[in-house]
Amino acid sequence: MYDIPFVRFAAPCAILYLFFYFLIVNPPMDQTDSANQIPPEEAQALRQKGLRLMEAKQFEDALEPLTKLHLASPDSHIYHHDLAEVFHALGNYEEEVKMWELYMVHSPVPGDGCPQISEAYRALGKLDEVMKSTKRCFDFEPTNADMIFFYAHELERRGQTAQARQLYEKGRALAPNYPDINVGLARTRSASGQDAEAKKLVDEVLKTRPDNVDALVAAGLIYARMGQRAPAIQFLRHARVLAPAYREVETLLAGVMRNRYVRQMQ
Amino acid sequence: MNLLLTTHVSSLPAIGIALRAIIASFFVVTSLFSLLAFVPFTYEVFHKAELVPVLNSFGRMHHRLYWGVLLLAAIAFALEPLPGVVERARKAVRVRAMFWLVHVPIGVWTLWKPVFAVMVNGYSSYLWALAMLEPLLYLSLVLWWERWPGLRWSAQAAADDRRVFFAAACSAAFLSLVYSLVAIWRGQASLGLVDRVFGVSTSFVTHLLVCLALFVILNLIAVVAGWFRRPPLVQFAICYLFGCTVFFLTIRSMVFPSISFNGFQANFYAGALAVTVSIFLASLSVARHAPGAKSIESGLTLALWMRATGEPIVRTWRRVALSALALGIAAAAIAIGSAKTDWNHLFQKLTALAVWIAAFRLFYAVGLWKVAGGRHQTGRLLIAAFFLLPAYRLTEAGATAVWPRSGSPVTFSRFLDVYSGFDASFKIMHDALGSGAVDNGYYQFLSKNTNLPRSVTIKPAPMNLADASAPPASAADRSQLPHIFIITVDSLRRDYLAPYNSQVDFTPSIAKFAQEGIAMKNSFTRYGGTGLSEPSIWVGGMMIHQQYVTPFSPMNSMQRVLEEYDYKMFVSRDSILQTVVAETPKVKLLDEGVQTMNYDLCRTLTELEPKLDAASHGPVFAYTQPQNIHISAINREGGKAIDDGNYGTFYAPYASRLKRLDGCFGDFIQKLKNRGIYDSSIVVLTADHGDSLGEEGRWGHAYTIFPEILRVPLIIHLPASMRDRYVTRPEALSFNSDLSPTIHYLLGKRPIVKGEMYGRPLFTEKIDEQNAYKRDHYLVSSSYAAVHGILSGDGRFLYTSDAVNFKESWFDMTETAPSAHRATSSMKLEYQKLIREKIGIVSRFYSFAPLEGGK
Repeated sequence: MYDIPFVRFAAPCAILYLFFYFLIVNPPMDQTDSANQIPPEEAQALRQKGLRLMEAKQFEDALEPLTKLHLASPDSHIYHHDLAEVFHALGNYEEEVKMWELYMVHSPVPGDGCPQISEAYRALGKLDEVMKSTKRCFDFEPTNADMIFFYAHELERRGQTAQARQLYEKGRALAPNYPDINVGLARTRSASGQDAEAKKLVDEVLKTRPDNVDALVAAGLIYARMGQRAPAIQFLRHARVLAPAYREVETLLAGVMRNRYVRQMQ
Repeated sequence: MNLLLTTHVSSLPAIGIALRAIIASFFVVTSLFSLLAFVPFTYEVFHKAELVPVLNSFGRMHHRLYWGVLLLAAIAFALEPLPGVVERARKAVRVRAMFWLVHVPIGVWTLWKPVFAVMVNGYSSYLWALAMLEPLLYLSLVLWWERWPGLRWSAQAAADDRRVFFAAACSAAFLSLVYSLVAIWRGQASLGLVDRVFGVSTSFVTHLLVCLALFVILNLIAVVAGWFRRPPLVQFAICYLFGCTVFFLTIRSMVFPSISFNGFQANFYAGALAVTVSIFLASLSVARHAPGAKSIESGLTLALWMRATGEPIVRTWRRVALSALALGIAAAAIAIGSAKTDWNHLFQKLTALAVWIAAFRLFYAVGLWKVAGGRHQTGRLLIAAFFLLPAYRLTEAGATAVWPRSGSPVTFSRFLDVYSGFDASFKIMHDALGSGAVDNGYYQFLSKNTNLPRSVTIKPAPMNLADASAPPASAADRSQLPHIFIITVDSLRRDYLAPYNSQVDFTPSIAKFAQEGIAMKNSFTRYGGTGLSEPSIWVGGMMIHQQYVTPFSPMNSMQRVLEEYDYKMFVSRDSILQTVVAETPKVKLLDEGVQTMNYDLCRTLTELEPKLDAASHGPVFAYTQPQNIHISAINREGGKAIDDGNYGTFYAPYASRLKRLDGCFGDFIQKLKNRGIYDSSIVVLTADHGDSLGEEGRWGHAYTIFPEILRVPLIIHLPASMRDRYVTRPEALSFNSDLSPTIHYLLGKRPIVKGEMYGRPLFTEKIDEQNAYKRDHYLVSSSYAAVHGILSGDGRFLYTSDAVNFKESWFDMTETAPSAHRATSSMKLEYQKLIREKIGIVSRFYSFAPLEGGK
């Protein structure tokens, strides 16, 4: 068979092509992505050490073992998550964001990085990135009530009330007893003039969660709009007691008490 | 003339071959010497700094040597018989005469104007590089023209598949044996028994694979040649075409990237050199063949400079064994001997390639004798070659699976990277097969933006470290200004100094100096290699990758501030600082008349000491960059320790010279104290870069940015008046390029600007001030080739992109001896983007758009 002229030519050509293909074009699988692992026992010990230090609030010290793990397994979402939390605790939001970004790429459940990634961007003042990351989170799991709430809340913050309300409605349909969604829906309904429905919603929430600060604030706002200053002041005072650091409560309360707020709104 | 007109034609005598080899070597070396003047980086290193003095001597003597070579050419012509046909012989005489008509005037002209004595960094050198290939080409073509008609080609090719297969298999075994022994010898401190077993077996299988691939190629050539009327002739031509292509690719992909020579000019020169050398070798093949009754049966045999008529060449096993032994010893001696002076394995790899050819020729000759004739078994041989491919893959997969059981802390692929550092022959194949490089433009981008040629015009970009309108220094009174002494020891490693390594006991003076001052614990250089690292110290930050943007003074922030404060400067103006440091009345030279490579700290400080009388009249600044422990200086001095001290695991030739340097440094400090100026001086001991001293087979600093090269010592002594006033964080990431901003700050220039391009003050009045300068990522680069990296995590993490070898690696710098890990796909994505961005920032600072290399 080898004496056939074509075979004599084709055989070495085919072999050379195979050599080229399997050695140059498609070389053996690079084991790198999974091969830089620290031996399992050592990795386990390092992580336990890192978690222990995190628990003890020794975040600076926790960086070392966790960074080592991250360098050994740069694509491990577990270490991204750990390090992101450490950087958050240290106030290093730049690094935190990077870890969450890596986490989003490598984690099988990237939504678990929400809303931390958005909040880290917010801490950096990168508001556009906040919006984008919230949208990304929503896109990961569009039927997850949490993701719906985060996205709707962000839209609401940006004044896109109609879109926010749509999402809240969708969220309420999926999770009718989700207080944050109900409160958000109440706020957006009130903003669109549907104060009665809004009042109904916050009342429902406050019935089961009388200490929900957001609900109290929303109630104060809605009741004030409806001219019911006394209960509005009561809600807001309660909210102030529960969350003294919540500055907006103080402002709202002052406004309602001076009756200016209502007038302005009217 | 009658002698020349002989009508009897015989093969070229051995003396003729030898003469032509000498002539060819002369012109090839001249051409390469000229090329080194054209490439900016090699011009600085070889022509200006005279890294290899023999090359510069060659250039200076070239106009005389040229006449010697012409004389050899005359002898060669006299010895070489003319063609048998009288008419052709007469033409040959005229053609030979033309050679003298052209090349004698050139010789006369170079006597009048010896261009190679002092070459310029410009296109004229490139043209000379090309022009110097012409004599070789001319002589080769003359020989070819004279000899060609005398050759008789058989109408049928000899069946030598078995010979080729035999030669390929034996070469594989021979090469893997020789270079494995070299690897075991060189890596005895690093390679354990298991490592050796895995390394040697992998090396053998890989050699076998590549050699049998060569067999398949040669078989294909023979098949194609068989289609023609005179198969041996076509086989001969294709063999040389194949050789020429391999030579071109070797030059273009292995040699030129390592000196940052890219683009059309590189391609053109590589092509010209490959063609010229191939024609020269082919002409010798033709000339060596004695035209006789027998016709040429094998083009391959002729191409390998053997009798191509089927007669046996090597007759005894003893002779074969002796030849193999001699070749093996020579290969091992070259590999071991050149390792410490090599340019990141380049010379070892090139010589290994030459040994490949020699080994193949040797065993092919054996084949002529031993396995000639016999039945056609080509089909079976091809099948055997084919089955080696799955066998290779299976072996590799098996080794990867078994390897973890050896208890090695590194992966098998990582181990092979290490092993290849000791086995040059395996390294050629490992690098070629392991790179898996599909360049999406990134490596082209790096190459294009590295060592930008001077033909690319870049305007100077002023490095103003402090606001020009900043208030004058509070210590404007000149008598209160500190004296400043910066000693940048070329290639000084941090871990060879006592302040950084408790095991070091041979640098007591530096240890004491560090106790009196501050040793920055986490210091690096931004550039591997003196070419850019030394200028960056004066610049106080990053520079565009060109040697050099001129005039350089706008970038030289350190000289500017020293001039502003009226410092009297004493500077060892080495070959690089001749461009970087402007000649002004304030600059007085140290080491005047001393070659850069001979700068000796002891001599320089002895020269400086009496000049410090000037310190009583005003502030004094001194800078020197001694070469005492530079690897080429050590090798030039025989590569031996200079005393009988016991340096344990430290590299004694380096450590012993460092010990001497330490003594001189200590004496100088004492003299400063005796003069009473030590406590009013800023004294800095640092390095431009570190060095590889055998790590994983690496030596020197070539074009790499391994951790041991980027890490530098940085020890600073402040005047007493400043010690209480300023604070620092020794553990914070710092660079030697932070010195200029630091001096600015300490002289009272505030605020020091922040930005990617700038260094930072290492000392500030409040520690908080330093936080503002912190960056997440720092670009680091080789001075000499397209190798760039990112240093991040406060120096805990280093990522490198090597566009010479197409490798991406990362290092955990917290390890005692950080070793390269292969980068993962996600890391490549992230860090390649970062490196691109950073190079873009540096380029744009110079109002220069980075050259794109594709998508």
